[in-house]
Amino acid sequence: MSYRLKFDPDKCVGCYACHIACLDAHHDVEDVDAKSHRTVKKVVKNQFEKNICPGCAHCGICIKACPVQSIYKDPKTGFVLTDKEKCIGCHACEKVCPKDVIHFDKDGKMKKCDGCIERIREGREPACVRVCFPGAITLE
Amino acid sequence: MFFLSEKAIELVGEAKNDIEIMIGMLCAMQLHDEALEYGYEKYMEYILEPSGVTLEELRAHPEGVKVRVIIPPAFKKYEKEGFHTPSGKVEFVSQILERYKDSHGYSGLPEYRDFREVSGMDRETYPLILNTGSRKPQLFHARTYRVPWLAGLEEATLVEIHPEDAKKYGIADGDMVRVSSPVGSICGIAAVYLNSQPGIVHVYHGNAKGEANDLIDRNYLDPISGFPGYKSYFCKIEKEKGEVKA
Repeated sequence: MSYRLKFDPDKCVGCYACHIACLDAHHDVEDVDAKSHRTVKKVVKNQFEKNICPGCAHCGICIKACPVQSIYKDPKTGFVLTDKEKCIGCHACEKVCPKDVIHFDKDGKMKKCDGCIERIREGREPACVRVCFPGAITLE
Repeated sequence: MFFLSEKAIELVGEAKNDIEIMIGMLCAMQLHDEALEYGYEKYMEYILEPSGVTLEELRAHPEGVKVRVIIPPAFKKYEKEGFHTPSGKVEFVSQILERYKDSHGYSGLPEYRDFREVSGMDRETYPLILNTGSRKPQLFHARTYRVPWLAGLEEATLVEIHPEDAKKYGIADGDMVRVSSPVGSICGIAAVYLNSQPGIVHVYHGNAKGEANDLIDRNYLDPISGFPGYKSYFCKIEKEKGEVKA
């Protein structure tokens, strides 16, 4: 089974529920400086502007850009994961990411969406998919 | 189920709940109200009356009390009692406002008066309209600014302006800007926003680092209802130069 996290910008209403669900799934409440794995982008269509919240689609482009092979595809889920120990913080992955969803922790190590792999193992949906009421984020 | 929600903490300073504030004002103004004029406990009893449950029962059962509502809410009361107006009817011409025609200049019939003309404001100095309180999904007045995950979603304080105004005042997306009104001034981050109306500056209220409502004169009130004009005060905007104190 190889998963992809699909995102439909037309359906997204910019409610930020996915951001909060992502923070909740990956952090303790005391972790006040935590950043979600999703991002916020302005889009304009038919003279109407809105914010949308794209996230990692697990396309794997960053795998090829990493000079130290710290990014890899999980064989079971197909999710693109990162090995913090190997990461040298060179930002090469950030430059090639088509969704601008790669960020860095306070130690300069790369952080990205893990597809809520722990939840998947428990037979649950990723947190963002679970809360996205317009159905803009889907697991396929 | 009915629960009594007792105060969670000892009151800080002179803090009171909304109902007690209303009762205090009612007494000070010597007004009469069957629900409020006899104090907080009596008010609670009044509210509970249709349920048949008493305050004592609720206090004795903090886990809640199951009750059957004995007086169901009434609908279409106006068919029997009329409306609460001097004529008992829906009034297109308000008889109450007519009473104050000579003393306050009110008109019984609603009249449109453009606040931009009647305010006497110097529009050359303050050509833009400040709108505070526009909704954002992650913010709710001042309280959610204190929740770091929510406050972290957007840089604050955002000053949203139409692209035409951005061009006119030489402001780019992300620039530090100063919004000033006749009563104050705050610093914020410009956000060029297509959905706004040219001439309007939107700033969400409630941010301790730049409280947009402080820019609105405390005496800028609707002449009849007394409601503050949060959606339409006067301001100007300029690019902030030098050291920024946001």
